[in-house]
Amino acid sequence: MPYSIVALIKQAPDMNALRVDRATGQVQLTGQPVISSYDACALEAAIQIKEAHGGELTVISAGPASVKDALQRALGMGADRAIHVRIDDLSSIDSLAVARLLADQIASMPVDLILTGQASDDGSSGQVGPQVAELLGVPRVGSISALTIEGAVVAIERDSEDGRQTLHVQIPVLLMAQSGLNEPRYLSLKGMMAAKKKPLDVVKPATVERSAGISWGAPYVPARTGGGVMLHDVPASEAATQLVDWLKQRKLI
Amino acid sequence: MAARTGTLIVGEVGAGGLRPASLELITAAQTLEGAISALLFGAEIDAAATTIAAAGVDRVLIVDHRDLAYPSAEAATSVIAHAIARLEPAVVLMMNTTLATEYAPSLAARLGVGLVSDVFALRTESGTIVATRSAVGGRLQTDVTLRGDEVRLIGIRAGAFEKAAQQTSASPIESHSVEMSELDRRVRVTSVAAKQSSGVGLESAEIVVAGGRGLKEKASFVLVEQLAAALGGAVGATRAVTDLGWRPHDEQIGQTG
Repeated sequence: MPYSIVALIKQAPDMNALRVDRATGQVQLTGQPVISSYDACALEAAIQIKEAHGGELTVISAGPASVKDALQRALGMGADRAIHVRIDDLSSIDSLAVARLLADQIASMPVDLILTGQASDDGSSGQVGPQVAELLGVPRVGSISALTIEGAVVAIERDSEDGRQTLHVQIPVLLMAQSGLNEPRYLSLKGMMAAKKKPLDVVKPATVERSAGISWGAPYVPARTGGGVMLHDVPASEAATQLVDWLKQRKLI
Repeated sequence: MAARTGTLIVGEVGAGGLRPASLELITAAQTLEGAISALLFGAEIDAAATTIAAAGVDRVLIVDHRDLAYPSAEAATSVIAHAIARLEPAVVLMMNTTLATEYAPSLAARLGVGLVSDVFALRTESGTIVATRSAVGGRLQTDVTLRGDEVRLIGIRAGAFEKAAQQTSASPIESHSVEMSELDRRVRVTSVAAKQSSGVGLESAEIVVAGGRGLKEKASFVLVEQLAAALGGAVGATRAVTDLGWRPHDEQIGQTG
């Protein structure tokens, strides 16, 4: 059966292209911003469900003008339409405020499945997904590493503290992807061309509320906790002896 | 309305009884002002309640129901919201387990208040709480200040605080029942495959032997397993390795784990 699917994505700095000057605490971005890695897995899962079962996939993202690039990419990968909730400075609002803006968009559309990442690459607070579900009154399941859907029932697997869990839940549901869920596809030239013809709506929220009572200090460089020791080009038996000596000296064994 | 006082810690019970990190929340709560209450929920959790009652808390609330054996995030949220309404704590401390990463944000949305997650240091400065967490993908850290009359929700990173020790005296344990909604029952855990590992859990291990992608292939992790077994430790893995499916995600260590 076809599904109405929503993927929620965040645009984040490319963490592999990010340098921190330890002396000043300044962050230097040398690459283009990307779709946050867990969200890219959620998007890929959403596209795969659409390809297998049919339906419509809407991708939604909140953020500044540059978010258009992330949404274009999502359209190129296979989403049908995109909504850009325009917030010029995401860091000026908190997770719950973002969740309210996203939930407002979803509340007016029919939806069977909402997919998003477990947490973002930059803030890593992991709050927006569960909060959107709570605001919409739908069940939520996170840390997903495998997923199948049949009719109205989603079967989920995830690693928990007690071992590998299998869960079942009826749609509508919000699912949060672990990064190992799949390997997000590359953007093809054909996809990129097709994306230009797909609808991308920009919504400007009138008021943005943020939680009172919480204020965030400027990020700073944590104190170093000590470096590691590298054993290079040493025969295994020699390396083992050195490792055991090192552990013994530190009274770790 | 009387001002909110004290701290409520939300512990968890797993297949092996009280999750050890529950006891770390007590130590974290001791850095704050006021009495410490503990909440536990689950099915047949008397033994876990007895353990936490003797670990330096002032009172323990339990919600024991067979439907809570593998609670959904929704059910957990309902239970915690009930306890907050009853106790009116100034601060609620929660864990960062698989389940807590779902219910803590849900609770914040239900109550319409903020949440600071994954906190690894806490201090009180003239009535305000300063919580330290990572920023910019773990490269930097930041101090978050929480003030005001609303309940303050904080998620605590596992391993950041010592586990509270058992004491000779124990606090009273009160049993409560909470009405579950239809939503609370919609997610069902249908099976749990117990771990095949050596039996030493990562969150309670004194020694962790961790491996990364440098091991080149999944099979090489047998070396890590052997060393961990020899040292009586647990196996850890980097995110790259868990993403590749070489190891389960709950063995992931480091700032993204």
